[in-house]
Amino acid sequence: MEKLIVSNTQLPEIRDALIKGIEISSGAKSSATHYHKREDQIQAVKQAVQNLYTTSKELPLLLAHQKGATGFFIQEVILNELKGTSKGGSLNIVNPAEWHDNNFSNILLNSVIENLDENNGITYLLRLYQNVKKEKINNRRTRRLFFTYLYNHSNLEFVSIKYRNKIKEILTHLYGVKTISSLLKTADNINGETLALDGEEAKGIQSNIDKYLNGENNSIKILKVLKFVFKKAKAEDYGTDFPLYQQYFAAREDIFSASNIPEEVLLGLISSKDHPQYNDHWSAKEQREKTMKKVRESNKTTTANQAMRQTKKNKALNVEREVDVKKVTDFIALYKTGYEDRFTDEINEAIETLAEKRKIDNFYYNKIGVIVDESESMTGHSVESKNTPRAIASFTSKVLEKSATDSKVIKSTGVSTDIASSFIDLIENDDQYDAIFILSDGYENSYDGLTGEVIDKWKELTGNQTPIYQLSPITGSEMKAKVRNLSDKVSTIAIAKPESVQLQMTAKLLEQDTKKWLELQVEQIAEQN
Amino acid sequence: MTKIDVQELLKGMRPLKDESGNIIVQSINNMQIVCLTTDDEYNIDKFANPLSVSVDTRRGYGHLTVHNEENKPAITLPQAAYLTKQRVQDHAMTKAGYVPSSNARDFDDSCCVESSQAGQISKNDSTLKRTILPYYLKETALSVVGKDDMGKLWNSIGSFNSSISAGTRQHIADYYDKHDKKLEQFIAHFEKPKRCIGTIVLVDGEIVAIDKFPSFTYADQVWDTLIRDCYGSIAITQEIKNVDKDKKFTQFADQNKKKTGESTSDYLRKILGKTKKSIEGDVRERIEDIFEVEFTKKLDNSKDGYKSEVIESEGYIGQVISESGYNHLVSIVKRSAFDAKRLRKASEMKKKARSQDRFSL
Repeated sequence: MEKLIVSNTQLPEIRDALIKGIEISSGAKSSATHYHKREDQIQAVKQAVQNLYTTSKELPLLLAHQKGATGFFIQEVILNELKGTSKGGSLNIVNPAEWHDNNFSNILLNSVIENLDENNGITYLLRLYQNVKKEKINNRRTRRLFFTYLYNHSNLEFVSIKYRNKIKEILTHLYGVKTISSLLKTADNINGETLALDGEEAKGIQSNIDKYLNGENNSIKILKVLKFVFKKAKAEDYGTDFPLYQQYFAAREDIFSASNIPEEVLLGLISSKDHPQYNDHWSAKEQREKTMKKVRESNKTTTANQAMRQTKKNKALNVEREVDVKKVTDFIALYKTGYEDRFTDEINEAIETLAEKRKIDNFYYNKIGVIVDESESMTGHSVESKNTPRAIASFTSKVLEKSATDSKVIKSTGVSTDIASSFIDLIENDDQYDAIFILSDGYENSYDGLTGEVIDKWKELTGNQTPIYQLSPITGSEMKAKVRNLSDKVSTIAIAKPESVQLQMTAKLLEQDTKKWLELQVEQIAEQN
Repeated sequence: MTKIDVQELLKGMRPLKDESGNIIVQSINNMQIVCLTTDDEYNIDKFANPLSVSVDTRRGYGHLTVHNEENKPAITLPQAAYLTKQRVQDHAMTKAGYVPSSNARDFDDSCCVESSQAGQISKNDSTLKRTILPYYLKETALSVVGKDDMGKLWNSIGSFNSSISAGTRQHIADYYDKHDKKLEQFIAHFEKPKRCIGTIVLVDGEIVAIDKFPSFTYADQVWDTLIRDCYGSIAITQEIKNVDKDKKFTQFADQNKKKTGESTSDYLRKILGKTKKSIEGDVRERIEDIFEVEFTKKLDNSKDGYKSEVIESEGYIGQVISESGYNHLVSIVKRSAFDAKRLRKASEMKKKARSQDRFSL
């Protein structure tokens, strides 16, 4: 049976939707930029996802499944999936028999959720389910996905401490108050490692916990976690098989005794007037600073990435904490620390190593030219996004360099230089490239459109057909979440992380053979079945 | 009344130039900006952030009281507008004003900029937005300095709003609300250079505004507001008029064909150089033209050693705030009815006259 049902007449429409969709899925963020407010960004992405659904219901999931899709885009797609049933909407690409009968939709949805968790982190996943609550979504599919994820989490104890309130909020929404209360009552029957259940209770455990378990955890462990999350537990409920809960209860008496509990949890405990250490260690500003310093110095839960991001704050607190820069995998943290403080040899080395690790395998091009726009507008807008666009541009340029065998990089900085001049520097001596990349937000210092005019003239004079890509770390809401382009002759790509570059170039190549691309995607899903 | 010219008003300042000595010109459509800079000794960094002041209109409509709670004196933005989300009447200043440190100052020639709204702004209004009137209202505002009439800008606001498709109400907030996104996009085009102390703005190759602030810090603090809220209105008007973009580079390339044997990069660089030189040359000439303009100074007020004067010429109107002859703030706009080409002709004749030898036998 044919897995694809897309007709030749529908293909152009689907191809265009895919190309536009890839630009959005790999570049769209919810945060504010130099030019756009957060609300506008969110609205633009929501609208873009809706447009994809209108073309064909598989499109959003297919795109969210790709490596390089942003967390925000994936969240939006999953949320939309959970809103409706798997039956609704029109399938114009995949054969409905495959989609429904062979479980394609569920396989793909699970894979998208994995993509969100692995490549963006648990905070994105929890935020997704908080949005589920906001949107008042509560169906069997939503419950199955969340409980399966949470109850089989390899680090459930730690996660339940760090994100206790969020998890409590989501569980309350998905179970309902009555079921939660019944489960907590059942949990009171736990005696050591045994649980005595009557018929009704056994049924409740089976339908609310057991059916979601597929790993090492059992229902007794889950009930104990629920007791903790809903603040119904006592210290004596937990033995050595719950070492972190033991530390948590110890921290309620002495926060300095719990080095494996997240810093923010410890500070949350001591900031309560009921905590026995409050008066001596938290009530005055000076005490608070000393306490924060002491906790930070001894805490073992901080990852290298977190420690890197804490550099500025640590300096303010006078905390001397060694950061294992080599272990940092968050390039934005490295760049931000560099911009805010200075680029030490260690940071530069870590960036180089990280770029090497992230290099794109089987990169389409061997010799490339790269222009990096380092103008003022690339520094970003609000405090939280400050320096993010230029960090993305700089790092992407490094990843591109490492991915190609030969490259020339030109940086365009300050008010007196412009991208047009940098472009001419790049083609100096009639240098030939397989592709040219311009990393820019699309806003020119000189007059608007100048770079496009220079590129047009160059192409006209030389007949050169070298593909030129504009990679933009900004997704402007006024462009409906698409990139603001420097010229019509340039292919635009929105980037939030370098991994998405190859994906988006695929989109550009996809123009040539859309059907083949779709077939490959469907084959991959079928292999997971 | 005394006379003064631009060279005297902008003493100690100079346009920002690149390494080759060319004036740096930033452009969007038919609008250009040249930044001014100066030496450290003329960077007078002793004033509070003008966007930190609070205001009230408790003394009555058209009567703004500006509160400066900083321990340094403040000079408010020229034609500062104070908008609030409360159901009270938004107000604006007709000029810039000096306010001593930790003190308040009354400005009785202020005006209402929201004609059909009643209510007085209170000092602690947390929703207060401090901005600046759009470029097209600055001339009218300056021409009514000293006039005690709360509604003196209403007609101009109504006409302005309808000219930029922002409705017909005499509410200046309608302009900011309607074009908020476009203005944000507009500001991104311009780089805020380091050591910038002011700007010269040109439209269609003619100077339409000059602003010189007390310090680099002051200019940095007001940059976004000045470019977005004030001069952004020029770009919006051009967009509505559907002004064509000038493809200067392409025009030069069409006029100067590539020579045989010339490398493509050398050729493109040459054309780009010509394009920039032409833009820079035009701007340089226009700045030289305005040197010929002679302003008449009229005292607005003088307190605590600070003097506010309104300056006027046939084609331009503005204000200068000085202390013992040192100009802290200069703000000039072109009168809308004035055809700047006349200035160019007059300038040419004046230059010719100066180059003539004295009569002799």
